Amino acid sequence: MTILSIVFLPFAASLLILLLSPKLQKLDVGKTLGAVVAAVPLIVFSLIISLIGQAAHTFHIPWVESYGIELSFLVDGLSILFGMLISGIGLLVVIYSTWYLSDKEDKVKFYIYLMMFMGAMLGVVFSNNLIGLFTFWELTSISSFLLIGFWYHKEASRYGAMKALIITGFGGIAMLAGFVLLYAITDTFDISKILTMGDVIRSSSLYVPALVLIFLGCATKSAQFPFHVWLPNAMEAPTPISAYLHSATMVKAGLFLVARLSPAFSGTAFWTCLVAGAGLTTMLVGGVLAIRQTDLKGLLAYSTISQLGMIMAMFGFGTQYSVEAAIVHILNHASFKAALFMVVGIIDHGCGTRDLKYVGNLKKDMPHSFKIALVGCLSMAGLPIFGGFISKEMFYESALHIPFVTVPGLIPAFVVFASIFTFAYSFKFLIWGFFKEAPGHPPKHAHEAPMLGWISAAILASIAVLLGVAPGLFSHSILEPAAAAVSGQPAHLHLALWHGVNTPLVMSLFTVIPGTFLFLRLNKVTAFQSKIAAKLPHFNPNFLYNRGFLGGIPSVARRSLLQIQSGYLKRYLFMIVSFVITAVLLFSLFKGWTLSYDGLTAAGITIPQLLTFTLIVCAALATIRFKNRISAILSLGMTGFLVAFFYVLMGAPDLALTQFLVEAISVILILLVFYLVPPYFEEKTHKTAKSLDVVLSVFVGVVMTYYMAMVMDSHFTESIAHYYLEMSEKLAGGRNVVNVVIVDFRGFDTMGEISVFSIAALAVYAMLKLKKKPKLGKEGDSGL
Amino acid sequence: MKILLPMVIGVLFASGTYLILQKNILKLVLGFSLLGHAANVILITSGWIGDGQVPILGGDARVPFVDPIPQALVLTAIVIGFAATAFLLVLALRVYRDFHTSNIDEVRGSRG
Repeated sequence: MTILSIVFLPFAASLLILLLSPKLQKLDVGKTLGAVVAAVPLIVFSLIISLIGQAAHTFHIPWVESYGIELSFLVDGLSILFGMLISGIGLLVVIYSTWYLSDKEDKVKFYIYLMMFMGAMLGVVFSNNLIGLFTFWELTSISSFLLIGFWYHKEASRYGAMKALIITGFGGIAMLAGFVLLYAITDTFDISKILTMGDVIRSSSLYVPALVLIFLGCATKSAQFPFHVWLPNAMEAPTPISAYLHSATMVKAGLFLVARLSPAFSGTAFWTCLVAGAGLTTMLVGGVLAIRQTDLKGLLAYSTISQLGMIMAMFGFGTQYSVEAAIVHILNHASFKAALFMVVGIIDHGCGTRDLKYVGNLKKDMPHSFKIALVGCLSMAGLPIFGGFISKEMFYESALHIPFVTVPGLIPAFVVFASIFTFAYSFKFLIWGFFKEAPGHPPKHAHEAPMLGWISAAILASIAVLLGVAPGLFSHSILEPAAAAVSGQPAHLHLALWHGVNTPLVMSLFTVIPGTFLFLRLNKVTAFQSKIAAKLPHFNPNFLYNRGFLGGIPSVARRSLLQIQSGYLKRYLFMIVSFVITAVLLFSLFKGWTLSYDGLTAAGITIPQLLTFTLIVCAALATIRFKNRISAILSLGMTGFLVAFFYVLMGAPDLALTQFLVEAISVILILLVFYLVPPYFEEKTHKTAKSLDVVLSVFVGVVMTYYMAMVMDSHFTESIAHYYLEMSEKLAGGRNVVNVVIVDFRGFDTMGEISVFSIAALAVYAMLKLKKKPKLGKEGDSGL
Repeated sequence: MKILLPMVIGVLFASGTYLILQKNILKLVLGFSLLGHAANVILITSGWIGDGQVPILGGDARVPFVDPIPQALVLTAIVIGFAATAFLLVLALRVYRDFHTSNIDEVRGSRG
């Protein structure tokens, strides 16, 4: 039950705020609402703490049992670690937001979205059913869309929210397809069962497509290259949201899923190639782009991309040690990145801008923020005595021992190269922001935030220090079970700052020295980068998204919509008839029927038959040829009467009788109505259009002729008529079998017919009698 | 006969199709009516067995009966076809009264 409260408490809170929102809007809630809401992540956090130490277990509530879909939760080290991050950082973010959001902001809406997002994230990490996980996953996409677009009056916010939704939504769909393939392999949606079937999955022929599709979901969510483009635009969100989404939650969901499914998928060359390849590329691209940012939040955005790539790479290496390193770094990154985001929010508030062109030398004006940023940046740069140092050393160590890579030294050299940028952007944040004087002046004189503003960041920074000086505090209870859940083997972490002089330490040295050099030459490097960017404006995934996606798809949609939904009845009918007749043609062709000439000409023909047929053809053609409407109606009536005569020839006297009566009434009715409408008008149809009509009509005629010839020439199943012929007199006491069938055996058909008739009569009455409402239609939305 | 009947049906379908592709709403009504005939004829034809006997019991037991089921179906279809024709006609009338045109292309985009 604990697990249910963990996942659904935030949703309940969200719903409750929503229901109370009319009242809350009226009351001046101020900071009280934030304080009340903070109770939710606090409770959730304590509940998750209470789960620590329990053996991995699941909790099921059946849902769609026949498809193996159920509400099922898995509690193990990995979900507990993520759950703690989500609720713990969620708590700090809520506290921070009470300071950050001014009273003018719609706080009610903010907390509704935030709680919904938190619930969805908790659902993702605790899910034990792929379909459940997918549902929560999409909920995170939707709620993050709402959060990123919180300031929806800004164009950039809407663009960023849309971009995040489209890219992660696309990944989500791919992921669902991957889940279905996974189901095809394992025959279950239950994650805990799937994780034990690694060998079956890896040897399946669907392994590669399933992995690629699921990884698309993870890569879009975790902003891996080239899907990283949504993340910088998502920075338009209020800073508490950025701190939350991009340190511990949204972007970590992709990493989480990679970690979660590691036991099922990892351990192959393809896995390492795909996951580590994507991760390493992203790490480098993010780092290279981060150093040229002057917007502090943009810098953090690209650094987040880079860090996510680094963690992804560690999962991709797939060794026991690399998984442990990844888990440690997830915790480190969450702490220092959330703290840094919060510092940016403080700078933004205090200076009115967060652009390094205008802000700098904040060391004295913002003493608390400076200390927090110092810890955060040094941890991010991977320097001792902070947590980031430990995980970076582990990263280097794991890069030295990678399976499936035959070129020695390639990966270690690459990770050192990529880390040089990490070092440089961390120092850019720190030195430019707090020591160097900025070229411009900020709109406001810099001032420190009150304690409510920096306390959350300070807590996170202390955690970052603790992770460095006393990593043992976390390793046994939290990190080891998490790593064990990912690798499938018991994990033993020996985290320490000093391991003696070893290869990773030497690699760190090779990071710090060129990193310092790069940092000192930063202006020249970024100028060079800008030059390249200006020369290659199209060499950019953003260009593809804007032009190809935002520009292309709607215009294709618009064009095809205008073609399909033209509003011309004729075009609709043309399409419907073409489709149906093509279907009939294909059906008759692929049925494998053959026409025999002898069979078709076998039966002879009598004079009345020949006469009727000829006259029907003449009357039908006359109906379309006559320019005068009276003649056309009479020709139609003629056709009807001849069809009645045809029924006589076919041994159906009842039909003939009915047809005569109906046709007579029809002709009278049509004549009456035609009297009320004007004569035929001259149709100004384009010649091509006219010939198209003729072509389609002739085509329909030919296909139907062919089809009918086939039908008549073939012998299908035995008719069930003998039953009616036998039973007609015995059961119903009638000799006219057709009548008996209508009123007795198939009486319900007749009842349906009568209903149709009554409905038609009602409709006719309504159309004749009802007056047109004068205003209707002006507001009417249908223009067609 | 076996070769002629499909052709008759083909002509009925072709003329019906041509009429429903026209712009005059009255021609549409005529077209649907023709298509209705065509469909009924198809059904009846499928129950045809050469020189069959009318399915009324009590005649010569040696002569096979014509299949009564398509007949029963078509009987229903004729009546429903009539209902549909009547409905379409009144719809045409209403369109003319409200839009003052019997050209359906002109009805397009009007907001009555």
